[in-house]
Amino acid sequence: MAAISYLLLTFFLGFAVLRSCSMDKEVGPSDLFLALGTGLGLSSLVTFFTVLVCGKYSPIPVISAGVGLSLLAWLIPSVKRKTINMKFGSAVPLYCFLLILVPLLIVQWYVYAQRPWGDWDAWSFWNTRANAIFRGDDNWSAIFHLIFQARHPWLLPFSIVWGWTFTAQETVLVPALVATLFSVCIIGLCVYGLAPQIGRFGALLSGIYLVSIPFFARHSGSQYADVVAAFYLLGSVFVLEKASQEKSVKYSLLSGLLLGCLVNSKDEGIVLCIVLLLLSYFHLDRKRLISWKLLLLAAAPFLGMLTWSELMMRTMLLPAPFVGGDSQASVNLMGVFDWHRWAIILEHFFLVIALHPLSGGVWLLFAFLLLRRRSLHSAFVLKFMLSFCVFFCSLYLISTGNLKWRLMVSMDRLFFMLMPLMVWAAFRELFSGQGEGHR
Amino acid sequence: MGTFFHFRAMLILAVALLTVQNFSYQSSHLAQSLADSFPDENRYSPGYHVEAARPYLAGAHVIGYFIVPYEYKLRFDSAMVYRFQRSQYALAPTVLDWDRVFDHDLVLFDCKVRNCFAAPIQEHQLTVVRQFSDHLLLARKKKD
Repeated sequence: MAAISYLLLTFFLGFAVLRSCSMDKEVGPSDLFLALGTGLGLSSLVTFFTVLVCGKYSPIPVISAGVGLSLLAWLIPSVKRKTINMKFGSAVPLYCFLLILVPLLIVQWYVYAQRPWGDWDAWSFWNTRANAIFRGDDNWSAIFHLIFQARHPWLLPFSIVWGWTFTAQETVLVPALVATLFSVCIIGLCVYGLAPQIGRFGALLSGIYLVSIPFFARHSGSQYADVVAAFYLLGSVFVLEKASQEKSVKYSLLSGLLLGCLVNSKDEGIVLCIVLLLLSYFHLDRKRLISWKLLLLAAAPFLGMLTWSELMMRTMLLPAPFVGGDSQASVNLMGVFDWHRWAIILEHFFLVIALHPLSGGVWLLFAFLLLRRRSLHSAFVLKFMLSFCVFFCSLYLISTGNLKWRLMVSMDRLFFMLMPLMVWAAFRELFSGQGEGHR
Repeated sequence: MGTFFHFRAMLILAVALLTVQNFSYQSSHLAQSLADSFPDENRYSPGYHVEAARPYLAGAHVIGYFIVPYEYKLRFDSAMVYRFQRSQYALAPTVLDWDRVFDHDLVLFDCKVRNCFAAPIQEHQLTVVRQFSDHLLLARKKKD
């Protein structure tokens, strides 16, 4: 019962916001997954805000704020009256989609059975923070100082606390459910977002392929924040493209909201957002696919959420650092000319990431994107992924410390964040010309 | 044009084969990958071994955390980091400081060997608040 109320309110919150943002007459299946993901982010934001205002966690204000925001978003007058198109069959039949999910859910169930609290970083980092908030002490913010982090991504811990508000205890169900919901949203957005563009066969195959990638199935069940960041990255690119196609102000704002969630889900989020917005300006604006005004509207919520959370954390909440003071990595710019470092990075990339069976051959699709004569939007996604990789390669080159260890703990996660976007862009290109829009 | 469609058909076939190969890899390697490198003691309740100290830490924002043998931490021994994080998980939101252990009023001793407390307690003039076991003890600084 608690889990159902959690799901319903989270979905309703996201759906109400999406409904007020969407300019479409109908809300289609892809919007439902977008709504669920948006709801998970917004509920986390609501919990964060309520805990800030109250000084510590308390369930009643959190639920009241969640219900209040949902109703407020629902009552915002929208331009056109929306109808909900629940006919999944017109895109991809619902039973097909559920069948796609079965292998993923089996793998995730197995991972949860083996590690109910998630993998190491999941429990020692994200769930520890969630614990600290949920236990209701006024010292909750100190936990954001703990472990070797320059910033303080709060989205996943507060999302878990939002779930625990309904179960009223620290149960293993919620972190697992959050991970599953985000991974289902990724696949849903991929399948139902692609279906109108490339047809149902290609869309279904993209979902099956994504689920089959061993690293995706395994890592999405590990309860890390990477699955959260991967969803918001895919969602913000998806919505930004919609804003560009429909010249929609509201979609721009929605993409900004998703970027705001992305920036607060992982430290790397800030780089992803800045690269995405800059590239949108230099690529999409120059090609007249999107105007700088729409991009400014997308940047506004993102910058607002970033500035607000940074200000709150840095000026109001956090005490002076007392733990992990030696964690700040120093920088050695001469590393760029150190060919030994290049060799280590490339060796790690090819042997541990690209050519490893865990990556499921996703680099074949990446190579296809590189070689193929591309549409403007696919070229944009490709440039975005390449810029992001170049940025992080530069970081690996100039940061001092144990490079092999840094690569081991971070490169596969960066890869995971890009993976759904890579599959989405490659399948769109692979099956281009077969969707409704091309008939 | 025909060559391109031929190329695309080959690619779609390659993706289909990859998908089959991926599922086959998942079914054969998943159990093995999960069996490695994760201590069983954490599986069902991270940090249960220090849970007994929690009621005594109400209102304490930061405490010292003395883990023995201490020098292991300096080698960045993963077992020690693991033990520290497990304890932090259980005792959150009280923050455990294992760098400046004796700068705080309360110190939690978490020993892997029995009765490791005596020497540091004497050296830093601490009083015992509660000894939970041969491996776990909470001490407080003596008031001047």
